[in-house]
Amino acid sequence: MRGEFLGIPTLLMAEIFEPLFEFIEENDIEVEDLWLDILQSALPRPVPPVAPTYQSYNDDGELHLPEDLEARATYEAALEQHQTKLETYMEASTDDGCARDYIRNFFDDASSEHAIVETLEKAFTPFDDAGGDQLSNAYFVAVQTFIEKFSLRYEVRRPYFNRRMAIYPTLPGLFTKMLRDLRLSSAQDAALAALMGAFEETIRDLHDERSPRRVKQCIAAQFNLLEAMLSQHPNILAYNTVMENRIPQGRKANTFGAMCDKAGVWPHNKVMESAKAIYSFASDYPGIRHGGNPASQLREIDMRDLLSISVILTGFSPYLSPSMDPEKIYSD
Amino acid sequence: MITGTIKTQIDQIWNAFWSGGVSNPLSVIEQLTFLMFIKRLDDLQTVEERKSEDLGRPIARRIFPEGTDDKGEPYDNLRWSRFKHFEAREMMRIVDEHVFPFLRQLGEEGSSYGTHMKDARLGFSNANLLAKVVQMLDDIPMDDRDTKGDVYEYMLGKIASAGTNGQFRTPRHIIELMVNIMKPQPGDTICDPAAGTCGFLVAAGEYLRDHHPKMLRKKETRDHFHNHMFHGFDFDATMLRIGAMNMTLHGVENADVSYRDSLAEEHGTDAGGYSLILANPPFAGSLDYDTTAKDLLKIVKTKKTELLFMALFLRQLRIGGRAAVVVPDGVLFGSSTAHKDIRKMLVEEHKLDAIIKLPSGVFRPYAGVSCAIVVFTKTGVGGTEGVWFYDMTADGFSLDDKRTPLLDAEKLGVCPAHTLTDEEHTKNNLPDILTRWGDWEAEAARPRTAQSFMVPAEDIIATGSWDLSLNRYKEIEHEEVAHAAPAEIIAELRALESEIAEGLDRLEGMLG
Repeated sequence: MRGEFLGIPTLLMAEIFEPLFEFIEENDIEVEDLWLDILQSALPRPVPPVAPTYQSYNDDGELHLPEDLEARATYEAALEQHQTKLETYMEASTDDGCARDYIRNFFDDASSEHAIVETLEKAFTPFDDAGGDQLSNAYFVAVQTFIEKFSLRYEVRRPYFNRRMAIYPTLPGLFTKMLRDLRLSSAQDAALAALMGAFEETIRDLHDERSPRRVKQCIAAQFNLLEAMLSQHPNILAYNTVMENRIPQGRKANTFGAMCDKAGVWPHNKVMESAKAIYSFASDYPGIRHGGNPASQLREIDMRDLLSISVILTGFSPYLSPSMDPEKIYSD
Repeated sequence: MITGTIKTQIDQIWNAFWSGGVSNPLSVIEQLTFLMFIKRLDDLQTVEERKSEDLGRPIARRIFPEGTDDKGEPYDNLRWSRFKHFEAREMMRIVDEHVFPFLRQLGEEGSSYGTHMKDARLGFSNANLLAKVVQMLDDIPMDDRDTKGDVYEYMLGKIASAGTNGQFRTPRHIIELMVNIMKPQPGDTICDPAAGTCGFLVAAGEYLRDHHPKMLRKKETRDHFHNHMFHGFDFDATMLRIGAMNMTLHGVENADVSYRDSLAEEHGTDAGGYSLILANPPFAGSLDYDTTAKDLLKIVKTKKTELLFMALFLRQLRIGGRAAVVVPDGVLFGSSTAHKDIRKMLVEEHKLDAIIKLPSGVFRPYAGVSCAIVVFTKTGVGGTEGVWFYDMTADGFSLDDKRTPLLDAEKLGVCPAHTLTDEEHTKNNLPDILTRWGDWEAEAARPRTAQSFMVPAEDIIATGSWDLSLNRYKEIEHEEVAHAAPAEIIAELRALESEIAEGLDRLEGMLG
């Protein structure tokens, strides 16, 4: 329930499309240029690169800065590449056999998960046009079977409001993607990567001993990671720079609570307060981040708390890390 | 023809743009089009001013008003002849902040000068480049129509990229062939519904100038030529601007080059409006039924653009109107109902004249698709007796991506300076096509093994699918090959085998 098409693009033709063409033959469905129709209806056309904006020209009106010259060379290479792609696309657009090869290559070299999902969704229409319900249902089932077979993070449905097919992300898929993105964005920074590593190590430690002590270490490690992420948020960095340059120096946002106040990322005060409150728990509960307040402890911590607190803290990560792209987490 | 010097000047302009960071050829041609348009506005007003001075009358039509624009700049400063003397940064300020807004205003007002200038923008911010290009353009002598047209045509030849909607530039010699086959007449109303750079319309105009020079001397026919004869449509704003400029620079004053999504809009107003259609429509893509013009779907129910364009041609032609259009091979033999319907219509309801099969690399480097020229007349009552097929195998250029000329320049094209030898004909079939075209008696006598032949309509109808692919009718002449008798071959093999065995024995002996 967490896989992506991007991991197995080479199987799409063999598992979904080729069997459908066998189905067409077995059922004597009359189709003409179906690969062509799929190409034209479902695959994106090559998009030309955007021309760069240059910084400076000499007296002859010519580019002269090395970075500008490099930008032009990069643009020209991209333009040439685009031209080749466009020509291949144009050639494929007029011949059914070439269209099949083009579609195969498109999946094999797919640039993003979203591109594959969108193409699979759009391919429903040419199947529907060519063979009506019989063929479009077969396509629907083929996509559904593929998703189930490879445990991908989607479910496939036919919305009531149109005759098309939609591929929706599932909740487990969404969470998985969010965690994967959190790992990826942490890996971009040495300090965060170390904290992420420490957090994952504490999770592994539970394998041998699921004691309250280990659970506390695990929760503490996750708090450390989130706190470090927030301290690197551009809004916090900007705020702290202003405070540092002020004469006399202003008070920087160094504590989790103060950073929450200055981050400017929350949709509502209550969401911010909940982040602060859960952080207070880690400070107040004996043995997580500090000695804490023994009187506040209602019961001994256990694995339930690990699962619950981990999910809650992961839930805050899209607020704290600007490098996580929620759009992509949902659809790409 | 433009001289080597002018070509060098144009190449220098191209290099100036490249050095100045404008490296997409389509952007360069668009910016040059704007600048040439600005120059032309000034030229037009200068002519009017001279006329007014000579006749002692007020100016009949003033493009640049008197006074200042809404930002306080004198309109006179917006004229090419004025700002070309300004210092680079001042020129940039005038052109960017005043001339282009003025162009857009002309476009908004729907003035006949500025129809396609509504969204004109100066695409670079490099003052020195502007000054350099203005100077270079000013230095190119473009006083006579021939030079102006050729200069622009040479510039268009530099657009190496296919358009974003699948359009690619039709090679000029193929256009020339189609125009020479159709022989436009002074009374024709000519349309290209996917006009692009207006190559077909320009070539038709040039053909008329060459073959019917009197047409431009009579007021009535001259008026028809400049105002009513040429109609080109496209839905790409850049192409429209380029096409309109191409027509203007080739001396057609007021061609109807306008925005139209030919397959999407109903054609009530111009249905049956044209006597000649010349086109090479884009044939990549299919449309949704919802967005396709209903009147075309009535002719043929399909999503394929190439078939919809065929339906469009039939809709737009008047009875008796003729068309020469490029279609992908699939149109000639595709087995869907829509394909068959269109072919049946052409053969049985109208008069299909000819299928000229083009070699498959003819549109390289843009697309390697196999195509053919279909020539037909809209009659509404049939009339196809025999269809002429020609198997073009060479167009004078290599059929790879480089498209290198295979002959000297004077032996290329439709009407070469010298008659081609048989060997040269194998490299350039175009003159032969033109020679054979129309000599139907001789063509009817040719065998089906020849490069061209006639196929009676009954044979085409008898296929049941109205198949129009050349290979269906072309007969291959097989050369007789003499083979040795099987017994001789066996004996030869045995001799070889024994030779090998002997060799192996000797080798074994040597090894002890």
